[in-house]
Amino acid sequence: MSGIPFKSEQRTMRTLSVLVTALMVALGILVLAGAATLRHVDTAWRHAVTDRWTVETTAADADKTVAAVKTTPGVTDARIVPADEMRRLLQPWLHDAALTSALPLPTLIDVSIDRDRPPSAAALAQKLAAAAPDAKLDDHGAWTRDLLRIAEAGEAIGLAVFAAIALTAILTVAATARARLAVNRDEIELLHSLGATDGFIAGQFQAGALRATVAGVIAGAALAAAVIVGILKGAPPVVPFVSELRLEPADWAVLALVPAGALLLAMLVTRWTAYGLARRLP
Amino acid sequence: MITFDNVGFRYGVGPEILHDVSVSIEPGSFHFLTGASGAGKTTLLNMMHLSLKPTRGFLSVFGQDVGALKRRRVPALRRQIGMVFQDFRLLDHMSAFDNVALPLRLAGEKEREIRRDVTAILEWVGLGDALQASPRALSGGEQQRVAIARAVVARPGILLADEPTGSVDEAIGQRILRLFEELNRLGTAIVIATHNRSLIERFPHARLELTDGNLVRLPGAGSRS
Repeated sequence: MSGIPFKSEQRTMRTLSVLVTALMVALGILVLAGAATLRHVDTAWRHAVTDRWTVETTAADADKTVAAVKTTPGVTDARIVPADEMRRLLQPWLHDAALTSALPLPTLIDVSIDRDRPPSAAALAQKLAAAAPDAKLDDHGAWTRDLLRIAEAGEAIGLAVFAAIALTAILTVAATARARLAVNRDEIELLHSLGATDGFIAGQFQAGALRATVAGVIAGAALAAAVIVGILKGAPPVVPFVSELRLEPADWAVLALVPAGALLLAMLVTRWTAYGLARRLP
Repeated sequence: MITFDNVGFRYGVGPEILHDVSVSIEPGSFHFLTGASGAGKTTLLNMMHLSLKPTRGFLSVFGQDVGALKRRRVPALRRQIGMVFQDFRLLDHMSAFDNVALPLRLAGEKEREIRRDVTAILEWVGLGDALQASPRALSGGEQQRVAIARAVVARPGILLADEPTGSVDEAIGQRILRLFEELNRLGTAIVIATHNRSLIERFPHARLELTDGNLVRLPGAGSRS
């Protein structure tokens, strides 16, 4: 059937509709991108924690400690951290080269762990107690657990905000569709009385709303893409253990689903709303 | 074509406004539906147009029992009925041509055929030079003729007109009724609701008179119908 034009929306209403759609799509993409980035940070932290342990010991027990650690299943390597390297690590915290050089430092052993088959920290601690009683094992769990919890909470909050945005978008589209239906009520009643089916009326109305929705979705996706690329390319990494903020190809694919989903959602909600009104006509 | 058998109607829980209406509208017939304002003429037309269902009795339209009619079957039946509304119901943001083309577009006609048929029907009602005019730019009588053109362009089996001469002067009213007669001669059944007695007395068609919710069939001045 040929298209039957509904009344043109007022320019202000159309502009508002495009802007709201654009902002919803941009917010949705940005929140999801934030959640994905946090997930990568979380993973990087987990790897940093599970891949590397530290053993503090005395210089006298250093070799015995390394030998005990290296023979433990699940340990891939163990090395004594050179004093220069330790001082370099301390430098940013103490800001005083002379003090750093004068400071008495313990002997640290950097232990590499097999991520897939890590050793038991308790068993290794017991083994160390026998080989070098002064050695202390630090699996970094105590201080990173809170960080991981924060990252997980951030990701969960991101997903919750995305769900809230999606729900708000549905309600906004429905409200916009109702406003447009009210403006075009005469046309809808006339088409109905001339023998148009409910599906035809809903389809015509949906087609009329498509242009504004497409414009909003494209604008929102472009805005979000610009912000994400700007942040990923421009911002220096500020998160410990994370060399760069990044999104994987799979993340981009999920983000691309947001505008497609928004368009589909808007069309379905508009159609349902129009269909609901048409069905109430006698 | 349309059969009422002991039909009664009430709005909601209000009093019954049509009682035991029994009448048959045959193909090719011409009837005036008369009665005072508020007598139920529009209600009766709306039942014929499938916009209202009887609260009791039997009504069939094009052989379909309206009481048992599924909603999805209604649009196809409605497309066989032309309706001229009292308030015209023209869409101001569309031209006269596009208003008249609506039923053909709903029926999925090709644009070339739509152009041919709509142009012809607008010429028939004397508006061949106003194809692209906005309804707002037309007089009341011209708007009424656009509404008539829209009602008949898809060649319906029956034309229902609600006070088609209500907002035009006597001369234009007669001209509109002549158009309906022409259409009737081509085979379309006509039912015109009107309370303009002076006008209908000039035409020989049968009258259906509504008084206090009761319908009485009265012969016209001539022998047709």
